[in-house]
Amino acid sequence: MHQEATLVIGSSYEEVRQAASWLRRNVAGTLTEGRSADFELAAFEALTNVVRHAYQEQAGHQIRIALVTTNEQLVLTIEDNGLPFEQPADLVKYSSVEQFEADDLRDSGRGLLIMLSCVDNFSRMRAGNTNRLMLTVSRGQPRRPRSHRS
Amino acid sequence: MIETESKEEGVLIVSLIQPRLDAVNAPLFREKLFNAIADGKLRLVIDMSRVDFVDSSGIGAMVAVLKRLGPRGDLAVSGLRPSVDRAFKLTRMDKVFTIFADTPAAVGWLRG
Repeated sequence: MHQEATLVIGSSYEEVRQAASWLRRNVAGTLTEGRSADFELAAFEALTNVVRHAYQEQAGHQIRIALVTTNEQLVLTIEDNGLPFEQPADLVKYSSVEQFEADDLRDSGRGLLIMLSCVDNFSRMRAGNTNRLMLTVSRGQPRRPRSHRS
Repeated sequence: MIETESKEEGVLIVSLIQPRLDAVNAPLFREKLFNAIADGKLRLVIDMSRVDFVDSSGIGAMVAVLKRLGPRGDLAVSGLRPSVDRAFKLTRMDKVFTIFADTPAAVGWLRG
């Protein structure tokens, strides 16, 4: 099995909601209900980050989304041409869920914590003027403790 | 997006009537709650029984409300659906907020 679905949205939170609906439809039947919800939540956080940080909440830009489904896993790739990923303090400091401190009233970092918690692998890179973030979840296997690669 | 109902003894029940609290509507939610606090509503129940999706922006808005209240007020959260409960636990907010199964229980705690 190898299926690919793609979607292009604009850089607004409203369109991120549409992307979440699109993802839910495309994931239906491939993951358990709980893992599907986790995958959607992680994707929502990733897309929100693109609007907020890469595009600084400015409308009129594109976000390209691709979902590849195989027998083993689902891979969601998100690309934008916004500002390069910076290495926010949380990403430098934390490489896994376990390293998050118990500063629960912090103003940032929860989105990253959610992404690390909800997928099996989280990676991102900068290629030319493109940011590329990939979220991977395996099908049917228990998740291991999460880590990320930059 | 929210309904409010004042109870006796200064308890304000804030009911979210949209199914999502996320980056789209979290800023407005935060603003409305900040206004309520500025109006002297210092004992709040946030009824989330109709919410089935919350993201880090929504949780961040709730944390901002909790911080704004500070030691002068109390905040209870009620009616978490499983998906919302999951987001709270992932972000450890189940340790931060006082959570009740339903709104009457939350009101009772605030009155106690």
